[in-house]
Amino acid sequence: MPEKIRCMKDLSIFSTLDIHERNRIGELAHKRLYNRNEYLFREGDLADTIYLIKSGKVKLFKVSAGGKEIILDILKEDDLLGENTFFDRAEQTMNAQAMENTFVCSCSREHFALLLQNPQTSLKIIQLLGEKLNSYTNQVANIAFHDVRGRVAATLLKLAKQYGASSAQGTAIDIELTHNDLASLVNASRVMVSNVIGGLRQDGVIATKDHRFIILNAEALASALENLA
Amino acid sequence: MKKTSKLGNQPVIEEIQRLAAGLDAMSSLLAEVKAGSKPGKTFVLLLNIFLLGGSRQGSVKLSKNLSLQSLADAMNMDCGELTAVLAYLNNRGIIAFQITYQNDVKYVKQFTEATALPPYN
Repeated sequence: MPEKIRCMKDLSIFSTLDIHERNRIGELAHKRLYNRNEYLFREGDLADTIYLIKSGKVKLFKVSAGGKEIILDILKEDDLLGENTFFDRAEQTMNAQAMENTFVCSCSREHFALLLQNPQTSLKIIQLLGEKLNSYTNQVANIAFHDVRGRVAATLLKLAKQYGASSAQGTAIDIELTHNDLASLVNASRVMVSNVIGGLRQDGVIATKDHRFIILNAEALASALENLA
Repeated sequence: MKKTSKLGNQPVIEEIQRLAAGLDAMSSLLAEVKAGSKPGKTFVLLLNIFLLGGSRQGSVKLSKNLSLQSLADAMNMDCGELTAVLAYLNNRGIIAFQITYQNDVKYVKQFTEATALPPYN
């Protein structure tokens, strides 16, 4: 994958920089391929690196006191992680694990601060963090106000927006998700999620193929959000 | 409160640190809610009480006083436990609250959610 090796300077957040600034980024950044299931960092690790995903997908999660994996977010190309690095001697407060082979660019906090001297880059970073904050807020609201069917619907619609690709059947979510993963995302039991998925499939709203979801009728899926818990 | 030091380009760094702190608080809250912990359940109950009759002016406010005992009963906790949970959410910057006394009954005066939620009709 030669096009991936060029790394951080080719990320879309730096697309507005001139050639000299982009070369400077190339000098400051490190690049690394993480294999599927490999950890970028774990909860409790020293937060001293900012990561930007060039390709692939990364799962952010915590483990509850009872040992349950709680997925907080799934990040993709051009997403940023490790923002606790902006605080002195901070620790990572969650785990980050590659869901597939993932190419990541990284740099230290001091080097990243140099990149922020460009106002357009700063604006894009602030925008990215703001979007992440909205995503968490929406997830909390989704869990608080919707029943499991509504939560599954909201999560599938969100994933379709982020990872959707048009196919002959509908919008295919280009991410491998087990019922367990989805159950963790929507905060319900796997059995309950499987029942909801079965119902949606029976109604012709969604289809599944090779652990991937295909949205056949987005309007019908969105109507599940109208019922509050 | 997390420690910060100067990195140059201070206004931008400060804004990023503000957002990063918000992200840290919201991700912790999300994990609490998903884990079904006492703080998570309490926050969800407060949100639903808001949905039934709160007001929204920038941040979310519950306009009516709530009896601490009623809230504790609804959460299957005692008042001391609930007060500790509320203090935890307060320290995380998720809510603000004040306990007042009326005829020896404790009232939780006001809750304010730190991060604005999306509109729900």
